[in-house]
Amino acid sequence: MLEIKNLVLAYGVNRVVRDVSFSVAKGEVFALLGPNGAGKTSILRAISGLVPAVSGDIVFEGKTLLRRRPHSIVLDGIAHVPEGRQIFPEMSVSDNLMVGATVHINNRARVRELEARCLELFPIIRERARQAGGTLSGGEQQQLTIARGLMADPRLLIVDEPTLGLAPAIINTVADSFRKLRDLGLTIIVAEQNADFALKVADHGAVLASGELSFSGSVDTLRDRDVLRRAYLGA
Amino acid sequence: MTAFVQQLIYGTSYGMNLAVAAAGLALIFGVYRVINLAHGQLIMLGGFATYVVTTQIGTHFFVGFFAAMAVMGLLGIALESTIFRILQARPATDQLLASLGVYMILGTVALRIWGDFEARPVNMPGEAWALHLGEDIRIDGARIVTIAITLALFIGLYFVVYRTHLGRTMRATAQGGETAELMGIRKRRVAALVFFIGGALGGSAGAMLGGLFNVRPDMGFQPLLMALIIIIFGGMGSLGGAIIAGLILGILYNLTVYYVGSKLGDLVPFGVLLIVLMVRPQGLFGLPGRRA
Ligand SMILES: Nc1ncnc2c1ncn2[C@@H]1O[C@H](COP(=O)(O)OP(=O)(O)OP(=O)(O)O)[C@@H](O)[C@H]1O
Ligand SMILES: [Mg+2]
Repeated sequence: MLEIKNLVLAYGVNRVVRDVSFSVAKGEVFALLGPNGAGKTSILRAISGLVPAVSGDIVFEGKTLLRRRPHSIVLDGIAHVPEGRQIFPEMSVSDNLMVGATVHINNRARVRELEARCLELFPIIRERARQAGGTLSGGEQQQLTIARGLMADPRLLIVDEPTLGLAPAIINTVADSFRKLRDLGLTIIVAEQNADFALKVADHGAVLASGELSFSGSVDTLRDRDVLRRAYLGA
Repeated sequence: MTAFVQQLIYGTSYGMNLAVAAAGLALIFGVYRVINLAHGQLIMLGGFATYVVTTQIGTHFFVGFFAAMAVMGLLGIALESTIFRILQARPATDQLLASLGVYMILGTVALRIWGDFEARPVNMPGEAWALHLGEDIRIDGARIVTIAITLALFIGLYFVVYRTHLGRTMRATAQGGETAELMGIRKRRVAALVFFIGGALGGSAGAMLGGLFNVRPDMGFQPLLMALIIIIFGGMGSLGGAIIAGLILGILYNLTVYYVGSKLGDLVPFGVLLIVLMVRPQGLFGLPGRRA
């Protein structure tokens, strides 16, 4: 469904992602693992059109995503839940949710259906609908950002570090929601430093270490091999 | 007492006018993070657009008024897509200086065309009648018409910003531009919309000021200054703050001019600015620590 081919990304002259290739199959949860500064966020931002590629290609359902604007990538079926929550703090929870539906906003029936799906998956959003987004707890905010991403009705959902700063019990609810989403037929790419979480929810994964790919394959092999330890410890 | 009431109402009409101008500035600043000094000249050109359409062509005031809004809105879009977009990646000071450059250019152009300082009136509805409150309070109809127009503009603005999806996209962009893009919001469309509304508000302020006081090539300066002080006073980027601050400033200005003397009126905005900066630098509705 999504193919990253020999991708090179740079900020100025600093090449932070070098020759990275992996592919994500339809209907799976794919984990992008690696320590701080490995280049996970940069790759996800390149998929969404926020960072231009120096070379290589990003292909989604047979079409390249390079040189496309972010909104047209959303329109094509990719939603991105950015790192660090990034809710709109002074907007109400329901307004936050509706911003996610921007590309479908003229189709009222569809927006209502999407909203109903989100409220079913994340009941807390209904309780908090009128509250300002900034007043939610960290865990609630994370649920809201995922719900907001789902309002775009994506086929591919990108989630950047969903567990950052969350208590273990809440991490479990995030893991549950990932499973439910996969059951709905969504493909998910999740970037994580938290390997335990990633290994629990993902089918396949890739490990990045300082901008280069050190492993890509099934999570079962990843569990046995020590690439993860090496990537994190630099050993 | 009667004079006081009259000045209160005149101050309200002037203050609402300033608030309209300031709301345009605040909207552009809140969403686009640029302080657009050229706004002062959009106010002035809005006045001249109204003069040309209403006085020279000879139509009803509201034809000129809406023409001024539309033309200044389009000029706002033109400025965004040529100058500010190119400078958006640069430091805020570059954009500020560029907008000052635009201010000077537009001012010079206006002086070339209308620099003879002839009186250029714009007939406004309400000029022929006055409201008599009790024995001796007399309020010009035009002042009341101005207050009514500004109220209508604020209700319309509130509706667009807080009750439509377009408004949601503007607010989302103001609170997190990149995240808004990731939600499928078209950055350029929002920018164009914000500059259109901002320019149109400036144009409408110019139309009303022209109706109340005549149109002049230098008429944009004082409202620009007042509008800048209003958005600092009201809290950078806050629309409600701009309205309340505009009212306070307009009323204080009128009362000072009336009771103390016209020379001292110009001290009012600066006095307010100094006090605000010392006592509450984030403004009335600005959040402490919010990026400004
Ligand atoms: N806007 C930027 N300008 C310059 N350098 C950047 C920028 N964003 C990221 N980098 C650099 O690119 C490298 C990769 O960063 P990236 O955010 O992609 O890593 P990450 O794997 O997501 O890390 P983390 O787990 O901490 O989020 C880092 O060295 C970082 O300093
Ligand atoms: Mg990251």
